[in-house]
Amino acid sequence: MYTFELPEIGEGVVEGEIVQWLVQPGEVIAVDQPVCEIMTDKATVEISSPVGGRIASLHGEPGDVVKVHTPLAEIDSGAGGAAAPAPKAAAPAPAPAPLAAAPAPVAAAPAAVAAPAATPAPTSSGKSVATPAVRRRAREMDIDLAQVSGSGKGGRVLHDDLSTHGSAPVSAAIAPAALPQSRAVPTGAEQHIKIIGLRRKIAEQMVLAKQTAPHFTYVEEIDMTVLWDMRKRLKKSAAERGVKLTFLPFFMKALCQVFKEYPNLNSNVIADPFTLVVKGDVNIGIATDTPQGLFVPVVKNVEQKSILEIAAELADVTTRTREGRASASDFSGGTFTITSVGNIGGVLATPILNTPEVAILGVNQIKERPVVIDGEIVIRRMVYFSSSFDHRVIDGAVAARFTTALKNILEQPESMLLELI
Amino acid sequence: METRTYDAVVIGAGPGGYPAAIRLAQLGIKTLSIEKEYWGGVCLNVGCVPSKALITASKKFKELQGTAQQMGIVLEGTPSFDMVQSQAWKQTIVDKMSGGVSGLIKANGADKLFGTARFDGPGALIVDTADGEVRIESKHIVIATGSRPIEIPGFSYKDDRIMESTKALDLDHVPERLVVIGGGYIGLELGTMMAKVGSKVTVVEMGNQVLPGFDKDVVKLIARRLKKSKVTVMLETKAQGWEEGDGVALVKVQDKNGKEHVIEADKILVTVGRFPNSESMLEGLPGLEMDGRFIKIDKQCKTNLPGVYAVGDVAGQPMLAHKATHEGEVVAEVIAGHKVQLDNIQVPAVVFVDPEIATAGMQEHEAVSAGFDISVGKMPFAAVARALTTGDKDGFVKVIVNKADQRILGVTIVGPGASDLISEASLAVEMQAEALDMALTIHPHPTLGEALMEAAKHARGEAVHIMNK
Repeated sequence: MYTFELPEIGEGVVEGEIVQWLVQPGEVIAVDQPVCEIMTDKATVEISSPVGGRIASLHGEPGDVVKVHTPLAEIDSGAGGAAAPAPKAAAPAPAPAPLAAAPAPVAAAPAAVAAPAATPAPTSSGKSVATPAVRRRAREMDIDLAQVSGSGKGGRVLHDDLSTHGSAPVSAAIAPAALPQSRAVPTGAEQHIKIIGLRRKIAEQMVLAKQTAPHFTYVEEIDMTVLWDMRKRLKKSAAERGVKLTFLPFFMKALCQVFKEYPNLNSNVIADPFTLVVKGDVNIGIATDTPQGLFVPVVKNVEQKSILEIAAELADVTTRTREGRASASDFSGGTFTITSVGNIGGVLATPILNTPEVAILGVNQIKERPVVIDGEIVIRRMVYFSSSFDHRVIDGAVAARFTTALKNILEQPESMLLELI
Repeated sequence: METRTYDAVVIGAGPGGYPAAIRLAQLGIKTLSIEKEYWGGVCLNVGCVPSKALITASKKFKELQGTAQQMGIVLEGTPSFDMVQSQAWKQTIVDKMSGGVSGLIKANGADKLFGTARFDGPGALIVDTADGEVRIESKHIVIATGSRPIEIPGFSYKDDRIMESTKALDLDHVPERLVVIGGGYIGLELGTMMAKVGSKVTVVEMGNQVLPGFDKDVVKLIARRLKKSKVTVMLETKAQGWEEGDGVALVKVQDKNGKEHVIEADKILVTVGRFPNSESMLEGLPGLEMDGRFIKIDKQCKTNLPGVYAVGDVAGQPMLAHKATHEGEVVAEVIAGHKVQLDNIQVPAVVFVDPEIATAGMQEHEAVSAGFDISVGKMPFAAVARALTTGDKDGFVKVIVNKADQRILGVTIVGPGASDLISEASLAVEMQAEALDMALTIHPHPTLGEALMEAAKHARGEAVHIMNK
């Protein structure tokens, strides 16, 4: 009997949370087959067994925290238990070359046609049932299709199945991570959902922010009309270069400029010793909604990049995050966060800080609203910025001046030209 | 010697090499495309494309003598075929295509070099160009050198009478008598074409059927049509040699009973298959792992040597242009670091004989020998309205279905428009569609494509236009 212990999974990592078991007791596994998913502070990783054999027992349940070098599973690797793992890949059947520019009178060359083995219920192609596009995306996401239970007819793996399956390095865990947002529970019944995995991480982070950083929210309205038109004009040339231009890169660039005057807003607070660490780099995190939950991927060194570069990088990192392909480094090093809360609706929101950062910019919905300019009521494209600040280190007046400075730039975006390096 | 450095080099600009070079350049990689003969390779210059031009011309010519007149087209006098004019027309197409490929490589930002490359150790090539030798160094090198016709003993292509496909596609006249050695698809395509424009064609095939590997029902139909076109087919017969007679070539063949025959011919076309152009790679690149004559590659088109890749005919069967193109595109993305690999379930195949043949996925006999319990739906074109209105109703569509999961394992088509109809079947097999998916998809009427839908229904016992078994 082999006792499989949680191996070292990263520098400084002493424990991890079991997100889910990928095997069942009694199951025969192969060498290197993933046994469970473990979530650490840094990432969620699949833990593979160094031996093959039959799983005798598993230690712990999803949600349990296990220390490195404590037992995860008992594996019967002896000759008795190890009915050799069923050979999965089928040997190509000796079919004659169908198409072949095969030398005709010479013997026909063996066909390279993918022919499945005659197992009891062969899938027609010998591959998991999925369209070519899903197969390619699975490969890009490092997902073994055979490990995905497809929700389509006959077990067909759909795009959605890949999204919920998550991926190897940073997979924000499988289904249990995200609380089901809408599932009818019959009257009189109740449903108990363990708060584990990513959901627990998010919960802990929120509690930490609320308990350690008393933050207040300051709201300002910005006239986006000029920037709206400017973006509209630039969108096409960005698209020609393969970049989708949103407002976010403009906000990010404007922030860099404001940070020059208010550097303390681009900083982290550390507890011991109690210090404000003012950052020289501008690394802006973007709160991103994914099927697995909230992630904040970071665009690094915004101050050194053009708006086009920021836009391209933003699209890349958020797409990879949504698809579960981002790596741990994509989420580290943030100095400031933007959360776009207006996509769904609402007038304004009060964002919670992404500690240890000291400020978060909340961007609400851009709407046409009547405003008064020079005594006339005119219709302008308006947006509320509702931003939260850590009052331990940022006072109200500073927050107001900071926001006003940001407003001034965004309302006259051409002023950014003056600061162009 | 001048040395140039690239991030990726593609040797050969045929249907495998040029898409690789273009994709590499598109992905921002500094790329060189090397070609020694013609941009676009054999396929575009002396293979698929010119043969289709001449085959189309011959088909139209034949129609003028047959169905056109039934349809009420009145011809004053007898139509005749001008091979010189036909060749000129073909050449304009080829020139346009080849120029297009050359332009596309450049427009996408890859460099081009005209010359013959040989390896000078891993990561280095020496290219013999009109301006002398150039040394090329590159981290990634893709071998896409294609293939060439096999020569058999006693039939040297240097001889004026003996032709491979390239020479046959460049004839300035219609040979009065043509002997085709090898009844595979290239031999039958060119033999049929020549027969249609007036040549007396004899096909000599060593096996017991023409088109080895193809569905028996398909072969039966093609054999019948060959007979109707007055093409003589000698099966289980071996070509032994030839000698120059009195202004005519005398081809000696031996039948299965050991009996010798002599066939008179003006030209002899040898189409016994193709060999990959891999030999030149072996020198200067020691340790390259082979699979017979082919370079051995993995699912990412990587050879056993780091930084050396191979695609297309040189990298294995089937030797088909579209397989090469797919591999070329995949290898470019592999070099760019994308997580991709060859993942296709099937490679379709098309044969431009009369009528056309096309397959996607498995054929019936292949599915049976792979151990599947299958149902086969068959729809003859004779019951398809559109086929009747084209004047060409010979043929059928077969849809091969796995009974266990109802998925379409393959489709075989012989008949009018087979080459264009097969793509739907390719998609169905690649999407792992069920017969029901094809049956429930509304196909427009009146079109030849209805035959696919109806065959899928037939496999389910639900056909409307033909009796279910």
